[in-house]
Amino acid sequence: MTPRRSARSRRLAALLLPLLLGCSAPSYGSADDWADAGGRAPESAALHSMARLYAAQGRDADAEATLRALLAREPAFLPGWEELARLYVRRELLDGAVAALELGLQEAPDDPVLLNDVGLCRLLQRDLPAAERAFVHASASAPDDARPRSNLALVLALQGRDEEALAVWQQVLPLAQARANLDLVTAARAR
Amino acid sequence: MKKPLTAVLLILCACADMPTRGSGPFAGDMLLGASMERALITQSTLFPYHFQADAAELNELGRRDLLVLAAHLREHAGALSVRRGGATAELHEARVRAVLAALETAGVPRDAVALRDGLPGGDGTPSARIVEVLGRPLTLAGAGASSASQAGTPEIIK
Repeated sequence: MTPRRSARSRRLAALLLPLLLGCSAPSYGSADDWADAGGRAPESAALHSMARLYAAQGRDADAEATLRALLAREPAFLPGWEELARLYVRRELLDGAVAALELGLQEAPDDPVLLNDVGLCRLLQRDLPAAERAFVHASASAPDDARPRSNLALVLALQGRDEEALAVWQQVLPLAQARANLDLVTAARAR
Repeated sequence: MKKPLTAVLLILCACADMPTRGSGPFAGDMLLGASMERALITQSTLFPYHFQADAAELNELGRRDLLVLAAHLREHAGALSVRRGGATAELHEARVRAVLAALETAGVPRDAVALRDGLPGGDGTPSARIVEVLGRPLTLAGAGASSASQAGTPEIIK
């Protein structure tokens, strides 16, 4: 290595060392830090995880109480609204699920995940025009996401709008799979 | 010099937090997005789902998809079909006019747009109006096609 290159490398190392140090694993703090944290409220992500654990154990009331506490404190924590809606859907409380998602949408009106979930709830309620509106909005908000478009295609097919459904499915699937989906829905409609 | 920098960038990237909800787009999303745009351009069609129910206005997805099509049509002459679906003839014509206005807003010159009928169809039968974007402004109007009028308003073939 030439002296010039060596000096350049040293300068680069001096520049990057602080960056790398800043990237190091988080410190777990001193004993005092631990003691001070005793009275601190749990973070939203932790409460969310706890609620999911409760839900997985079938402790729906605990999960709901945890999520409600979390969302009362931080309504902009959107995964909380998703989880609350999921909980209500599991209990077949579709109106409650839609209400929860709409509260979440007050915080983030164009959130594609919440909009897609509203569409699914409306689909379960068999309110196909409302489901279509929600999936249209979700597709426009997340143009690179195939899920809301696929769901939109399903809703169109369920309404008998086969040409539109096939066109939307073809935007996200190969033609053969798009046709297979449409055939499935057509057969289901005929039953 | 490039090698150490690349290595450091990789280390720094690895230090970043795990991706969270909505923190994309990721490479897969971008590829899928590009493929969806290609499909939209291949179809070059606006369907009733692109419009507000029982209204002529494009909905948010209609506006978004039309922007994709307009970006293509600005560079490449082509046709854009507006499907009628179950809409009345009047509503369908209103939708076509809304599409023309949106195309103009998106930078497709109105004098480069012509209209013609697509598949024939009466009530309940699929039919479409075809919006043609030409490589250059039309000067003649013939059967089956119409050019922009002197006033700049496209003539719609009945």
